[in-house]
Amino acid sequence: MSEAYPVDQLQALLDQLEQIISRRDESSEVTYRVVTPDEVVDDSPTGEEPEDLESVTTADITAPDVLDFVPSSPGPVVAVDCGIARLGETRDGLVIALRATVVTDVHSGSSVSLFRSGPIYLVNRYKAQALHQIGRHLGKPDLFVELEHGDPADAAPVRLKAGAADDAHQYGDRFRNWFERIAQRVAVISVENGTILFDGALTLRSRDTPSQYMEELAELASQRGNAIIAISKQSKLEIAGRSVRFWLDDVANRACYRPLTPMMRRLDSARSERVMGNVHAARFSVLGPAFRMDVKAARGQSDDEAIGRYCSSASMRGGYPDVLVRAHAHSYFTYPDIIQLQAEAGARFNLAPQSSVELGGIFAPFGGRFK
Amino acid sequence: MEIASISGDTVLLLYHPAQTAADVGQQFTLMEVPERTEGLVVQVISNDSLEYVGLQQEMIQHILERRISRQTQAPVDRERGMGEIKSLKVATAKIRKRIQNNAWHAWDGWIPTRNVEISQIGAGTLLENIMPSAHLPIRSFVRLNESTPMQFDGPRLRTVNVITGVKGSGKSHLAKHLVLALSERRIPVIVFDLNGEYLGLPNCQELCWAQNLVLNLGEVGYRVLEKLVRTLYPLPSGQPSEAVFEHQLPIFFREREDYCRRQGTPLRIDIPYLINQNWEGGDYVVRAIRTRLGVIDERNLFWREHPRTVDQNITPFYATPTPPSFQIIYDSACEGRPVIFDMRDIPNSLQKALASSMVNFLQDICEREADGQGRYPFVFFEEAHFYVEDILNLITRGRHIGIASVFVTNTPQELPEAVFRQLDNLFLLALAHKDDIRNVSRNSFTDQDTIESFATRMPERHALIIGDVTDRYPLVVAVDPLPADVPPSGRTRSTWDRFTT
Repeated sequence: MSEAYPVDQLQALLDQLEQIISRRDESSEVTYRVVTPDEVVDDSPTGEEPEDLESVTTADITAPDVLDFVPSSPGPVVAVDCGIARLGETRDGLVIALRATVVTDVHSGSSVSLFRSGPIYLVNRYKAQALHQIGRHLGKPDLFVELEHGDPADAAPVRLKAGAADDAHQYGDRFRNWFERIAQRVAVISVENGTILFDGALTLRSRDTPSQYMEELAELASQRGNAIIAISKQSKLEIAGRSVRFWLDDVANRACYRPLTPMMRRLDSARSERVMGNVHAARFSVLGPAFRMDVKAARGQSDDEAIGRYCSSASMRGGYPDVLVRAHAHSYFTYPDIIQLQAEAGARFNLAPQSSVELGGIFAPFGGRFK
Repeated sequence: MEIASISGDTVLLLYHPAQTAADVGQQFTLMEVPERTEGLVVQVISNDSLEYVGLQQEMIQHILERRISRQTQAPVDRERGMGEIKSLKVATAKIRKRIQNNAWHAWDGWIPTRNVEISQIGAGTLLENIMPSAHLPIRSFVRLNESTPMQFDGPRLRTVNVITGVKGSGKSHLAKHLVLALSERRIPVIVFDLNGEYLGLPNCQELCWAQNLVLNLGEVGYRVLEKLVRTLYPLPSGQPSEAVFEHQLPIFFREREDYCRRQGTPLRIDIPYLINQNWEGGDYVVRAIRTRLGVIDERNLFWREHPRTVDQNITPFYATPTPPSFQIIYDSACEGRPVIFDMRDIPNSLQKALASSMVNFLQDICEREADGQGRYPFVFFEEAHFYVEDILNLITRGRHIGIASVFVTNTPQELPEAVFRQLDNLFLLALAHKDDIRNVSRNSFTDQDTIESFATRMPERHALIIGDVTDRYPLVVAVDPLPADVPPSGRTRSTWDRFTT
């Protein structure tokens, strides 16, 4: 078990990465993203990591009973969220900025830790080196790249693996995911006997995070008595032919949850093993929507206890944990943020702005404003 | 009565039944005359008619006389003793004790001359000389010579006891007496009752799995679950799944214990919790383990944090918000309320698994009692031959653990040899099968001749008792009827009943 990354080391890692991927000798033209003054920007993909396996649609299966939240002694709650803004594109790369937030609610009050990368220029020709570094930080150097033969710890990257970063969106999102994982690693050791809230799912063997890294997160959390709970607003997961958020339809207007993992195991045990912990459908307030909730309890703790503690500790806003809302609020980019970051990127990376094509006129009046 | 011969430990006694009764099981003293200070105690194990020279000619003569003569008269017949020779019997007796100066000792090989005075030993004298004094007596339920009550010293009912006899010979009858007598002394008694024989015993706690008994996994511990898996749905022997299960199960329990301790709460754990743990070893292994845990969970043997709705509807017993405690039941047993596990409606494989699992748990109770009041249980295994292999540990380690066992069986040949090698007391009723007799004879108390003679000639409601309670002296006793409030044993349903009522 490697130690968690302290916050000051995160700074050093960003510097190191910037040296690798942002080396620029000559000026490039950049097409900046156009933002409108009332726009908020978060280019993170919605929902959890897409799964490779198909849904199993055996409908005739008994659903586990619905359970009520059982209050227990409250504890600290830490929420983590991360946002990405694509600031602009060049002929050979992409400029992004990352923001991660760790919000900590304890009995004595609340604190917010912000992790802000500033503009990062992701040059395509250094893609293999950059993703190699990310893989190393995540504990699996060959996660995205094929390596030379020899000791994987020292081997140089040869080429990118298929699907690692086939386009600019994927390339940027690999960085966003990495940044979020590091923030999560900071979060899981920041409190004791509490709840760590992630946005999304606890998917294992995903394309962008090694299972070992996720398990280390859980182990670090567990060592401090913390449970990890991930809440996915837009889950794509289907169980017995039904999307997770419809698995509480039989108990309308009731704050409750239903364990779904037992069903997943019966339908497709391999698939259930791709989730760290257990999957539930959860509705946190009477009129709120249902979410997918993945629970990785601390060692010795049951899922019900982890859920009970979380619900006794976190206040809800419209049926969604307020602390996670606040983490999100600090992780997106406003219009002034974007234009300032673009200015900083231009200066730092010697970028010459290129005017973008305005498509609004072509589509006007048929929704042209949004093109 | 005369000594015909003494060979080894066998004495042949010649007697006329009109002069002396020498029934099987009776004891005699053979005191050397004239001093009458040295002698032997012998016990009759069988009776035979006397073979004598000329017997055959005598019989031929009588038969031919009756065939040839149409009428036989004896106008003068003064041969009054004629024919008495045919009444003579030879009793085979075993030497049990030596008498020196009126004190009884273990026999050391000494024998008397034929010049002896032979007297029958009264019940009182016999008990006075052979029965250990009962410091902690249990209620008497057997009688010597039909009339003299015998009291057993409780501590001499040690670790391994066997009650055996053919079907209908009164095993359960005797066992019930023991259960009641022990319970009256506030000895915790647990009975694994396969046939419902013990139901209705006064003051007993009748428990039936998945009906009015669910076990608290946090209380009974992981070994009970491990044993159930091993017995009911074993993981492939030597395969990774078995190794992972046996390695990780205690770890998950320990982690849960640590967590609950930190929270300041009693240990609460159920099978769904274990199913949700991170079992190692890959998909195949994890699936194998979870499947087994799931199947056991379905059987409703253990308390669940979240009872299934369907189970709650059937049996509200499941809806207890807090885990039940077997310790409370055990404490009641220590106050004289024997626990009867009613296993009638449980499949045979599950009977075995539950019995052996509960024995594991009882060992844990004994561990606790070792540091406390020392209330070690007596465990009765009805039809013990069905599952004795699964509780063999109890036989070899019982005296270290503190558990005393009573194996009740009509098939002693299926009990492991270890039972008879470790035997402390044998309660033998009628047996007929030679293999059974041979197996029972493997105990170190007495010889096969004695067992065979007694077992094949045992009167109804009688038993041979031998072991620590009789200081190794084989005693044939009559068993008292059960108290009026105890249901009779061995009630059999029969289609013929409808014609007799």
